[in-house]
Amino acid sequence: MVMNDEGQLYTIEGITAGVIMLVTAFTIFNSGLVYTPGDAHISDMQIQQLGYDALQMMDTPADSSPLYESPLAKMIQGNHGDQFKIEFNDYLKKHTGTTEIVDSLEFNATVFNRDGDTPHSYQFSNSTMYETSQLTREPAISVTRYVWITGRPFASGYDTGNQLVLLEVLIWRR
Amino acid sequence: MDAIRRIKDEDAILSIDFLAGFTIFILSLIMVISLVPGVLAGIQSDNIDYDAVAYRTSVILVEDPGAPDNPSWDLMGPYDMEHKADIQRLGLAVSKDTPNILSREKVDKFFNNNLDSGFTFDADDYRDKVIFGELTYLYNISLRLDAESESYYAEGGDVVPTFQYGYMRRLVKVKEPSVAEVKFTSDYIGDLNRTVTNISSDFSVKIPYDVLMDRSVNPAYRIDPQSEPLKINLSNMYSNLSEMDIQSMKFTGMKIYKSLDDGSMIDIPGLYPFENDTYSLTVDGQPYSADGSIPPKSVVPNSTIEMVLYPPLPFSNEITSSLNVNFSFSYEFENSNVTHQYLSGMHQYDYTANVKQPNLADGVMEVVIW
Repeated sequence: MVMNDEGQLYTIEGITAGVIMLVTAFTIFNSGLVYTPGDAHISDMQIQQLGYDALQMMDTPADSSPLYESPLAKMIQGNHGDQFKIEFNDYLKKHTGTTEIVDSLEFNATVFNRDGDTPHSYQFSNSTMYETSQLTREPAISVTRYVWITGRPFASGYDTGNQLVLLEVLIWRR
Repeated sequence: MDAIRRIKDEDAILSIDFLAGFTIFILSLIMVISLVPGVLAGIQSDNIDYDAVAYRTSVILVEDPGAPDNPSWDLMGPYDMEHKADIQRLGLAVSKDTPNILSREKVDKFFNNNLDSGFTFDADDYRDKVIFGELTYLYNISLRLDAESESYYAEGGDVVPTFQYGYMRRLVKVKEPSVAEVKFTSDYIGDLNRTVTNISSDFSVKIPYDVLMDRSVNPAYRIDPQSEPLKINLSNMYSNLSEMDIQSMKFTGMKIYKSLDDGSMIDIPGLYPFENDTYSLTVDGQPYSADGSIPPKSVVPNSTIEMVLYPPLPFSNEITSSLNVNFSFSYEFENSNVTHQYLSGMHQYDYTANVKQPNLADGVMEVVIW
Protein backbone atom coordinates (compact mmCIF):
# COMPACT_ATOMS: atom_id res chain seq x y z
CA MET A 1 0.00 0.00 0.00
CA VAL A 2 2.84 2.33 0.83
CA MET A 3 4.10 3.52 -2.46
CA ASN A 4 6.98 5.70 -1.30
CA ASP A 5 9.22 4.59 1.62
CA GLU A 6 11.33 7.72 1.92
CA GLY A 7 11.66 9.15 5.43
CA GLN A 8 10.23 6.10 7.16
CA LEU A 9 11.66 3.92 9.90
CA TYR A 10 10.53 0.38 10.39
CA THR A 11 10.13 -1.27 13.80
CA ILE A 12 13.38 -3.18 13.77
CA GLU A 13 15.42 -0.17 12.73
CA GLY A 14 13.69 1.95 15.37
CA ILE A 15 14.51 -0.49 18.15
CA THR A 16 18.07 -0.92 16.92
CA ALA A 17 18.60 2.81 16.81
CA GLY A 18 17.10 3.14 20.31
CA VAL A 19 19.36 0.46 21.73
CA ILE A 20 22.43 2.00 20.12
CA MET A 21 21.58 5.40 21.54
CA LEU A 22 20.89 3.95 24.99
CA VAL A 23 24.15 2.01 25.04
CA THR A 24 25.98 5.19 24.01
CA ALA A 25 24.29 7.23 26.72
CA PHE A 26 24.97 4.58 29.37
CA THR A 27 28.61 4.22 28.32
CA ILE A 28 29.13 7.95 28.52
CA PHE A 29 27.60 8.20 31.96
CA ASN A 30 29.41 5.15 33.26
CA SER A 31 32.88 5.90 31.99
CA GLY A 32 35.31 8.16 33.73
CA LEU A 33 35.79 8.59 37.50
CA VAL A 34 34.36 11.75 38.96
CA TYR A 35 36.44 12.90 41.88
CA THR A 36 34.31 14.60 44.48
CA PRO A 37 35.92 17.03 46.89
CA GLY A 38 35.34 14.47 49.65
CA ASP A 39 37.96 12.20 48.15
CA ALA A 40 40.85 14.51 48.85
CA HIS A 41 39.82 15.18 52.43
CA ILE A 42 39.55 11.66 53.75
CA SER A 43 43.25 11.15 54.41
CA ASP A 44 43.44 14.69 55.82
CA MET A 45 40.63 13.84 58.18
CA GLN A 46 42.45 10.75 59.44
CA ILE A 47 45.58 12.71 60.27
CA GLN A 48 43.55 15.53 61.76
CA GLN A 49 41.62 13.20 64.04
CA LEU A 50 44.85 11.51 65.08
CA GLY A 51 46.37 14.90 65.90
CA TYR A 52 43.36 16.02 67.92
CA ASP A 53 43.32 12.70 69.77
CA ALA A 54 47.04 12.97 70.54
CA LEU A 55 46.71 16.50 71.94
CA GLN A 56 43.68 15.44 73.98
CA MET A 57 45.52 12.43 75.43
CA MET A 58 48.49 14.63 76.34
CA ASP A 59 46.14 17.17 77.93
CA THR A 60 44.49 14.56 80.18
CA PRO A 61 45.93 14.55 83.71
CA ALA A 62 46.79 11.16 85.20
CA ASP A 63 44.52 11.75 88.19
CA SER A 64 41.64 14.05 89.01
CA SER A 65 43.89 17.12 89.21
CA PRO A 66 42.90 20.24 87.27
CA LEU A 67 43.79 20.50 83.57
CA TYR A 68 46.87 22.65 84.25
CA GLU A 69 48.44 19.52 85.76
CA SER A 70 48.22 17.64 82.44
CA PRO A 71 51.49 16.57 80.79
CA LEU A 72 50.85 18.97 77.91
CA ALA A 73 50.23 21.96 80.19
CA LYS A 74 53.38 21.17 82.13
CA MET A 75 55.42 20.92 78.94
CA ILE A 76 54.30 24.37 77.81
CA GLN A 77 54.69 25.75 81.31
CA GLY A 78 58.25 24.45 81.50
CA ASN A 79 58.94 25.17 77.80
CA HIS A 80 59.92 21.52 77.31
CA GLY A 81 59.55 21.28 73.53
CA ASP A 82 61.92 18.32 73.49
CA GLN A 83 59.56 16.29 75.68
CA PHE A 84 56.63 17.28 73.49
CA LYS A 85 58.53 16.06 70.44
CA ILE A 86 59.11 12.61 71.94
CA GLU A 87 55.60 12.12 73.29
CA PHE A 88 53.71 13.53 70.31
CA ASN A 89 55.79 11.36 67.99
CA ASP A 90 55.01 8.30 70.11
CA TYR A 91 51.29 9.00 69.89
CA LEU A 92 51.40 9.49 66.11
CA LYS A 93 53.19 6.17 65.67
CA LYS A 94 50.97 4.08 67.92
CA HIS A 95 49.23 1.13 66.28
CA THR A 96 47.72 -2.23 67.12
CA GLY A 97 49.62 -4.28 64.54
CA THR A 98 46.58 -4.89 62.34
CA THR A 99 47.79 -2.67 59.54
CA GLU A 100 51.19 -1.40 58.56
CA ILE A 101 51.78 2.19 59.64
CA VAL A 102 53.82 4.40 57.35
CA ASP A 103 55.82 6.38 59.86
CA SER A 104 56.35 9.52 57.82
CA LEU A 105 54.46 12.22 59.70
CA GLU A 106 56.32 15.44 60.47
CA PHE A 107 55.07 18.27 62.61
CA ASN A 108 55.76 21.79 63.76
CA ALA A 109 54.16 23.14 66.95
CA THR A 110 53.56 26.81 67.65
CA VAL A 111 52.23 28.44 70.82
CA PHE A 112 50.09 31.59 70.54
CA ASN A 113 49.79 33.68 73.68
CA ARG A 114 49.20 37.26 74.76
CA ASP A 115 51.62 39.76 76.16
CA GLY A 116 49.38 42.50 77.44
CA ASP A 117 47.48 43.64 74.36
CA THR A 118 49.94 42.14 71.91
CA PRO A 119 49.42 38.67 70.47
CA HIS A 120 52.64 36.75 70.48
CA SER A 121 53.77 33.41 69.14
CA TYR A 122 56.83 31.24 69.21
CA GLN A 123 57.93 27.88 67.86
CA PHE A 124 57.43 25.38 70.66
CA SER A 125 58.55 22.10 69.15
CA ASN A 126 59.13 20.31 65.86
CA SER A 127 59.89 16.87 64.48
CA THR A 128 63.43 15.86 63.54
CA MET A 129 63.14 16.16 59.77
CA TYR A 130 60.71 19.03 59.67
CA GLU A 131 63.06 21.39 57.84
CA THR A 132 64.28 19.03 55.12
CA SER A 133 60.76 17.76 54.47
CA GLN A 134 59.33 21.26 53.95
CA LEU A 135 60.08 21.25 50.22
CA THR A 136 58.51 17.96 49.28
CA ARG A 137 55.73 17.89 51.76
CA GLU A 138 52.07 17.34 51.10
CA PRO A 139 49.71 20.08 52.30
CA ALA A 140 49.84 20.35 56.06
CA ILE A 141 46.89 19.77 58.39
CA SER A 142 46.41 22.07 61.34
CA VAL A 143 45.23 20.84 64.74
CA THR A 144 44.78 23.19 67.66
CA ARG A 145 44.03 23.03 71.36
CA TYR A 146 43.62 25.60 74.09
CA VAL A 147 45.90 24.74 76.99
CA TRP A 148 45.50 26.06 80.52
CA ILE A 149 48.73 27.15 82.15
CA THR A 150 49.18 28.82 85.51
CA GLY A 151 52.00 31.25 84.81
CA ARG A 152 54.56 32.49 82.34
CA PRO A 153 56.94 29.85 80.95
CA PHE A 154 59.60 32.53 80.49
CA ALA A 155 59.81 36.16 81.38
CA SER A 156 59.54 38.10 78.13
CA GLY A 157 56.58 38.10 75.79
CA TYR A 158 54.13 36.52 78.21
CA ASP A 159 51.34 37.59 80.52
CA THR A 160 51.64 36.64 84.15
CA GLY A 161 49.11 34.47 85.97
CA ASN A 162 46.52 31.93 84.85
CA GLN A 163 45.88 31.88 81.14
CA LEU A 164 44.86 29.89 78.11
CA VAL A 165 47.33 29.62 75.29
CA LEU A 166 46.60 28.25 71.84
CA LEU A 167 48.78 25.39 70.70
CA GLU A 168 48.74 24.85 66.96
CA VAL A 169 50.42 21.80 65.47
CA LEU A 170 50.89 21.51 61.73
CA ILE A 171 51.18 17.88 60.62
CA TRP A 172 52.16 16.67 57.18
CA ARG A 173 53.52 13.63 55.36
CA ARG A 174 57.04 14.02 54.14
CA MET B 1 -13.33 6.32 -0.21
CA ASP B 2 -10.73 5.90 2.48
CA ALA B 3 -8.15 8.56 3.35
CA ILE B 4 -5.05 6.74 2.04
CA ARG B 5 -6.23 6.73 -1.49
CA ARG B 6 -6.97 10.37 -1.43
CA ILE B 7 -3.41 11.25 -0.36
CA LYS B 8 -1.19 10.89 -3.37
CA ASP B 9 2.11 12.13 -1.88
CA GLU B 10 3.12 10.27 1.27
CA ASP B 11 6.38 12.14 2.06
CA ALA B 12 6.78 13.31 5.69
CA ILE B 13 4.07 11.03 6.99
CA LEU B 14 4.92 9.11 10.19
CA SER B 15 4.36 5.45 9.89
CA ILE B 16 3.16 3.27 12.75
CA ASP B 17 6.57 1.51 12.77
CA PHE B 18 8.41 4.71 13.48
CA LEU B 19 5.94 5.64 16.24
CA ALA B 20 6.47 2.28 17.91
CA GLY B 21 10.27 2.53 17.73
CA PHE B 22 10.34 6.10 18.94
CA THR B 23 8.00 5.33 21.86
CA ILE B 24 10.21 2.46 23.00
CA PHE B 25 13.26 4.70 22.79
CA ILE B 26 11.64 7.53 24.74
CA LEU B 27 10.40 5.15 27.43
CA SER B 28 13.86 3.62 27.79
CA LEU B 29 15.49 7.04 27.87
CA ILE B 30 13.17 8.12 30.67
CA MET B 31 14.12 4.99 32.59
CA VAL B 32 17.83 5.63 32.06
CA ILE B 33 17.55 9.26 33.13
CA SER B 34 15.68 8.25 36.24
CA LEU B 35 18.60 5.90 36.97
CA VAL B 36 21.21 8.62 36.54
CA PRO B 37 21.47 9.64 40.21
CA GLY B 38 22.13 6.00 41.05
CA VAL B 39 24.64 5.73 38.22
CA LEU B 40 26.49 8.79 39.54
CA ALA B 41 26.54 7.36 43.05
CA GLY B 42 28.30 4.35 41.59
CA ILE B 43 30.90 6.62 40.06
CA GLN B 44 32.14 7.76 43.49
CA SER B 45 34.99 5.55 44.56
CA ASP B 46 34.21 2.86 47.13
CA ASN B 47 36.95 4.20 49.36
CA ILE B 48 34.90 7.19 50.40
CA ASP B 49 32.08 5.06 51.61
CA TYR B 50 34.29 2.72 53.63
CA ASP B 51 36.28 5.51 55.22
CA ALA B 52 33.07 7.19 56.29
CA VAL B 53 31.80 3.95 57.82
CA ALA B 54 35.13 3.40 59.58
CA TYR B 55 35.02 6.94 60.95
CA ARG B 56 31.45 6.57 62.15
CA THR B 57 32.27 3.22 63.78
CA SER B 58 35.30 4.69 65.54
CA VAL B 59 33.24 7.62 66.85
CA ILE B 60 30.60 5.28 68.26
CA LEU B 61 33.25 3.11 69.90
CA VAL B 62 35.43 5.86 71.32
CA GLU B 63 33.16 8.83 72.04
CA ASP B 64 29.82 7.23 72.89
CA PRO B 65 28.95 5.41 76.14
CA GLY B 66 26.55 3.22 74.16
CA ALA B 67 22.86 2.62 74.68
CA PRO B 68 21.32 1.83 77.06
CA ASP B 69 23.58 3.93 79.26
CA ASN B 70 21.87 4.02 82.62
CA PRO B 71 22.16 1.29 83.71
CA SER B 72 24.97 0.66 81.31
CA TRP B 73 24.78 -2.13 78.73
CA ASP B 74 27.95 -3.76 80.04
CA LEU B 75 26.21 -4.76 83.28
CA MET B 76 24.36 -7.52 81.46
CA GLY B 77 25.36 -10.89 82.82
CA PRO B 78 25.26 -14.38 81.34
CA TYR B 79 21.60 -14.63 82.33
CA ASP B 80 20.81 -11.64 80.11
CA MET B 81 21.83 -13.25 76.80
CA GLU B 82 18.19 -13.26 75.71
CA HIS B 83 18.06 -9.50 76.27
CA LYS B 84 21.06 -8.86 74.05
CA ALA B 85 18.72 -7.34 71.46
CA ASP B 86 18.00 -4.52 73.92
CA ILE B 87 21.51 -3.19 73.36
CA GLN B 88 21.25 -0.54 70.67
CA ARG B 89 24.82 0.75 70.45
CA LEU B 90 28.05 -0.72 71.75
CA GLY B 91 29.86 2.46 72.74
CA LEU B 92 32.88 2.00 75.01
CA ALA B 93 33.34 5.48 76.51
CA VAL B 94 33.02 5.89 80.27
CA SER B 95 30.42 8.63 79.80
CA LYS B 96 29.28 11.03 77.12
CA ASP B 97 31.38 13.77 78.75
CA THR B 98 34.61 11.82 78.47
CA PRO B 99 35.44 11.08 74.81
CA ASN B 100 38.43 8.77 74.26
CA ILE B 101 38.32 7.51 77.87
CA LEU B 102 37.11 3.92 77.67
CA SER B 103 35.62 1.81 80.43
CA ARG B 104 37.58 -1.35 81.26
CA GLU B 105 34.34 -3.25 81.85
CA LYS B 106 32.96 -2.28 78.45
CA VAL B 107 36.24 -3.09 76.69
CA ASP B 108 36.31 -6.56 78.25
CA LYS B 109 32.68 -7.21 77.32
CA PHE B 110 33.08 -5.87 73.78
CA PHE B 111 36.18 -7.94 72.96
CA ASN B 112 34.79 -11.05 74.71
CA ASN B 113 37.77 -11.03 77.07
CA ASN B 114 35.93 -13.01 79.74
CA LEU B 115 34.75 -15.94 77.70
CA ASP B 116 33.73 -17.85 80.81
CA SER B 117 31.29 -15.06 81.67
CA GLY B 118 28.97 -16.58 79.07
CA PHE B 119 27.97 -13.22 77.63
CA THR B 120 29.48 -12.84 74.18
CA PHE B 121 29.12 -10.85 70.99
CA ASP B 122 29.39 -12.23 67.47
CA ALA B 123 29.84 -10.75 63.99
CA ASP B 124 26.11 -10.02 63.58
CA ASP B 125 26.06 -8.10 66.86
CA TYR B 126 28.99 -5.94 65.78
CA ARG B 127 27.33 -5.22 62.43
CA ASP B 128 23.98 -4.36 64.04
CA LYS B 129 25.21 -2.35 67.00
CA VAL B 130 28.47 -0.65 66.00
CA ILE B 131 29.02 -0.63 62.24
CA PHE B 132 25.41 -0.20 61.10
CA GLY B 133 24.56 0.31 57.43
CA GLU B 134 22.53 -1.96 55.20
CA LEU B 135 25.52 -3.65 53.55
CA THR B 136 27.24 -6.61 55.19
CA TYR B 137 30.59 -5.00 55.86
CA LEU B 138 33.67 -6.98 56.74
CA TYR B 139 35.62 -5.51 59.62
CA ASN B 140 38.68 -5.71 61.80
CA ILE B 141 38.47 -3.81 65.08
CA SER B 142 41.49 -3.96 67.34
CA LEU B 143 42.67 -2.32 70.55
CA ARG B 144 46.16 -2.34 71.99
CA LEU B 145 47.15 -1.07 75.40
CA ASP B 146 50.72 0.08 75.95
CA ALA B 147 51.00 -2.03 79.08
CA GLU B 148 49.95 -5.24 77.33
CA SER B 149 51.81 -7.16 74.66
CA GLU B 150 48.76 -8.60 72.91
CA SER B 151 46.11 -6.66 71.01
CA TYR B 152 42.41 -7.33 71.49
CA TYR B 153 40.43 -8.21 68.38
CA ALA B 154 36.68 -8.11 67.90
CA GLU B 155 35.25 -11.59 67.31
CA GLY B 156 34.57 -12.53 63.68
CA GLY B 157 36.94 -9.96 62.17
CA ASP B 158 38.82 -10.81 59.00
CA VAL B 159 42.41 -10.29 57.88
CA VAL B 160 42.75 -6.79 56.46
CA PRO B 161 43.05 -6.74 52.65
CA THR B 162 45.98 -4.95 51.05
CA PHE B 163 43.90 -2.13 49.55
CA GLN B 164 40.37 -0.75 49.19
CA TYR B 165 39.36 -0.47 52.80
CA GLY B 166 38.15 2.25 55.13
CA TYR B 167 40.46 3.04 57.99
CA MET B 168 40.47 5.01 61.23
CA ARG B 169 43.01 5.10 64.05
CA ARG B 170 41.99 6.56 67.41
CA LEU B 171 44.10 7.19 70.50
CA VAL B 172 42.36 6.23 73.73
CA LYS B 173 42.88 5.76 77.44
CA VAL B 174 41.32 2.83 79.26
CA LYS B 175 40.10 3.54 82.77
CA GLU B 176 41.34 0.71 84.97
CA PRO B 177 39.37 0.11 88.18
CA SER B 178 40.54 1.25 91.59
CA VAL B 179 42.15 -1.02 94.20
CA ALA B 180 42.29 -0.63 97.97
CA GLU B 181 45.68 -2.07 98.85
CA VAL B 182 45.43 -2.02 102.59
CA LYS B 183 48.68 -1.30 104.38
CA PHE B 184 48.48 -2.45 107.94
CA THR B 185 49.86 0.53 109.78
CA SER B 186 49.69 0.94 113.52
CA ASP B 187 46.21 2.47 113.08
CA TYR B 188 44.84 -0.95 112.30
CA ILE B 189 46.30 -2.74 115.33
CA GLY B 190 44.35 -3.62 118.45
CA ASP B 191 45.95 -4.40 121.81
CA LEU B 192 44.95 -7.39 123.91
CA ASN B 193 45.60 -7.87 127.57
CA ARG B 194 48.59 -10.15 128.20
CA THR B 195 46.51 -12.57 130.28
CA VAL B 196 44.14 -13.38 127.39
CA THR B 197 45.51 -15.85 124.84
CA ASN B 198 42.90 -15.93 122.10
CA ILE B 199 40.52 -13.59 120.34
CA SER B 200 38.31 -13.37 117.28
CA SER B 201 38.17 -9.99 115.64
CA ASP B 202 37.02 -8.28 112.43
CA PHE B 203 38.91 -5.95 110.18
CA SER B 204 36.49 -4.02 107.98
CA VAL B 205 36.60 -2.01 104.81
CA LYS B 206 33.91 0.63 104.49
CA ILE B 207 32.54 1.58 101.09
CA PRO B 208 30.60 4.85 101.45
CA TYR B 209 28.51 5.31 98.31
CA ASP B 210 27.79 8.97 98.97
CA VAL B 211 31.51 9.76 99.05
CA LEU B 212 32.30 7.71 95.94
CA MET B 213 29.42 8.90 93.77
CA ASP B 214 30.41 12.52 94.04
CA ARG B 215 29.13 14.36 90.98
CA SER B 216 31.92 16.92 91.25
CA VAL B 217 34.49 14.25 90.43
CA ASN B 218 35.09 13.94 86.68
CA PRO B 219 33.63 10.61 85.43
CA ALA B 220 37.08 9.76 84.03
CA TYR B 221 38.45 9.54 87.59
CA ARG B 222 35.31 8.65 89.53
CA ILE B 223 35.14 5.38 91.49
CA ASP B 224 31.74 4.18 90.36
CA PRO B 225 30.35 1.25 92.38
CA GLN B 226 27.45 0.97 89.93
CA SER B 227 29.56 0.19 86.91
CA GLU B 228 33.07 -0.76 88.05
CA PRO B 229 34.48 -3.52 90.20
CA LEU B 230 36.04 -2.52 93.51
CA LYS B 231 39.07 -4.50 94.65
CA ILE B 232 40.36 -5.01 98.15
CA ASN B 233 43.81 -6.48 98.69
CA LEU B 234 45.01 -7.44 102.14
CA SER B 235 48.69 -8.31 102.36
CA ASN B 236 51.63 -7.90 104.71
CA MET B 237 49.20 -8.46 107.52
CA TYR B 238 51.99 -9.13 110.01
CA SER B 239 53.88 -5.94 109.20
CA ASN B 240 52.91 -4.13 112.38
CA LEU B 241 52.01 -7.06 114.62
CA SER B 242 54.51 -8.29 117.17
CA GLU B 243 54.52 -11.67 115.53
CA MET B 244 56.80 -13.31 118.09
CA ASP B 245 53.93 -14.34 120.32
CA ILE B 246 51.35 -15.29 117.67
CA GLN B 247 50.89 -19.03 117.67
CA SER B 248 48.32 -19.01 114.95
CA MET B 249 46.33 -16.48 112.96
CA LYS B 250 43.43 -17.75 110.90
CA PHE B 251 41.09 -16.19 108.37
CA THR B 252 37.68 -17.46 109.40
CA GLY B 253 35.34 -15.77 106.96
CA MET B 254 33.94 -12.66 105.37
CA LYS B 255 30.60 -10.95 105.67
CA ILE B 256 29.05 -7.98 103.94
CA TYR B 257 26.92 -5.52 105.91
CA LYS B 258 24.73 -2.68 104.76
CA SER B 259 24.40 0.37 106.95
CA LEU B 260 20.88 1.53 107.76
CA ASP B 261 19.74 5.10 108.17
CA ASP B 262 19.87 4.83 111.97
CA GLY B 263 23.52 3.82 111.82
CA SER B 264 22.99 0.13 112.54
CA MET B 265 24.29 -2.61 110.29
CA ILE B 266 22.49 -5.56 108.78
CA ASP B 267 24.10 -8.64 107.36
CA ILE B 268 23.39 -9.24 103.65
CA PRO B 269 22.43 -12.92 103.49
CA GLY B 270 22.82 -15.42 100.71
CA LEU B 271 26.16 -14.30 99.28
CA TYR B 272 28.19 -17.19 100.49
CA PRO B 273 29.83 -19.24 97.73
CA PHE B 274 33.26 -17.82 96.95
CA GLU B 275 32.41 -16.72 93.41
CA ASN B 276 29.05 -15.26 92.49
CA ASP B 277 27.50 -12.21 90.84
CA THR B 278 28.42 -10.07 93.81
CA TYR B 279 32.02 -10.90 94.61
CA SER B 280 34.93 -13.30 94.35
CA LEU B 281 37.22 -14.03 97.25
CA THR B 282 40.62 -15.70 97.13
CA VAL B 283 43.17 -16.45 99.82
CA ASP B 284 46.72 -16.93 98.52
CA GLY B 285 45.27 -17.26 95.04
CA GLN B 286 42.92 -20.07 96.05
CA PRO B 287 39.15 -19.53 95.91
CA TYR B 288 37.76 -19.26 99.40
CA SER B 289 34.15 -19.75 100.35
CA ALA B 290 32.92 -17.37 102.99
CA ASP B 291 30.07 -19.58 104.18
CA GLY B 292 32.14 -21.61 106.63
CA SER B 293 32.11 -24.73 104.46
CA ILE B 294 35.90 -24.51 104.17
CA PRO B 295 37.92 -24.72 107.36
CA PRO B 296 39.59 -21.48 108.47
CA LYS B 297 42.74 -20.71 106.56
CA SER B 298 46.06 -20.00 108.23
CA VAL B 299 47.45 -16.54 107.66
CA VAL B 300 51.23 -16.37 107.44
CA PRO B 301 53.38 -13.25 106.94
CA ASN B 302 53.25 -13.40 103.13
CA SER B 303 49.58 -14.37 102.84
CA THR B 304 47.30 -12.28 100.67
CA ILE B 305 43.53 -12.01 100.70
CA GLU B 306 42.00 -10.60 97.54
CA MET B 307 38.42 -9.62 97.09
CA VAL B 308 36.69 -8.25 94.02
CA LEU B 309 33.21 -6.77 94.32
CA TYR B 310 31.43 -6.85 90.98
CA PRO B 311 29.24 -4.05 89.69
CA PRO B 312 26.64 -3.06 90.47
CA LEU B 313 27.60 -3.35 94.12
CA PRO B 314 24.76 -4.33 96.48
CA PHE B 315 22.47 -1.36 97.19
CA SER B 316 24.74 1.01 95.23
CA ASN B 317 21.58 2.56 93.77
CA GLU B 318 20.84 3.91 97.24
CA ILE B 319 23.25 6.77 97.05
CA THR B 320 23.30 7.63 100.75
CA SER B 321 23.90 4.08 101.85
CA SER B 322 27.20 2.33 102.50
CA LEU B 323 28.63 -1.14 102.64
CA ASN B 324 30.97 -2.72 105.14
CA VAL B 325 33.07 -5.73 104.21
CA ASN B 326 34.20 -7.49 107.36
CA PHE B 327 37.12 -9.91 107.30
CA SER B 328 37.10 -12.14 110.40
CA PHE B 329 40.28 -13.46 111.94
CA SER B 330 40.93 -15.62 115.00
CA TYR B 331 44.21 -15.50 116.89
CA GLU B 332 45.93 -17.66 119.45
CA PHE B 333 48.81 -16.22 121.41
CA GLU B 334 51.58 -17.68 123.52
CA ASN B 335 51.09 -17.12 127.18
CA SER B 336 53.94 -14.64 127.25
CA ASN B 337 54.33 -11.59 129.34
CA VAL B 338 53.67 -9.03 126.63
CA THR B 339 50.63 -7.23 125.29
CA HIS B 340 49.24 -9.15 122.33
CA GLN B 341 48.36 -7.43 119.06
CA TYR B 342 45.73 -8.20 116.44
CA LEU B 343 44.22 -6.56 113.36
CA SER B 344 41.28 -4.31 113.95
CA GLY B 345 39.75 -1.07 112.78
CA MET B 346 38.24 0.18 109.57
CA HIS B 347 39.70 1.18 106.23
CA GLN B 348 37.64 3.60 104.15
CA TYR B 349 37.32 3.16 100.38
CA ASP B 350 37.45 6.74 99.13
CA TYR B 351 39.40 9.33 97.12
CA THR B 352 42.30 9.57 99.54
CA ALA B 353 45.63 7.76 99.56
CA ASN B 354 43.74 4.83 101.13
CA VAL B 355 42.90 3.64 97.66
CA LYS B 356 44.87 3.32 94.46
CA GLN B 357 42.73 5.54 92.22
CA PRO B 358 41.46 4.55 88.77
CA ASN B 359 44.36 4.57 86.35
CA LEU B 360 44.07 5.80 82.75
CA ALA B 361 46.12 3.46 80.58
CA ASP B 362 47.21 4.64 77.14
CA GLY B 363 46.13 2.64 74.13
CA VAL B 364 45.22 2.81 70.47
CA MET B 365 42.25 1.51 68.53
CA GLU B 366 42.20 0.70 64.82
CA VAL B 367 38.95 0.29 62.91
CA VAL B 368 39.15 -1.20 59.42
CA ILE B 369 36.00 -1.69 57.31
CA TRP B 370 35.68 -3.08 53.80
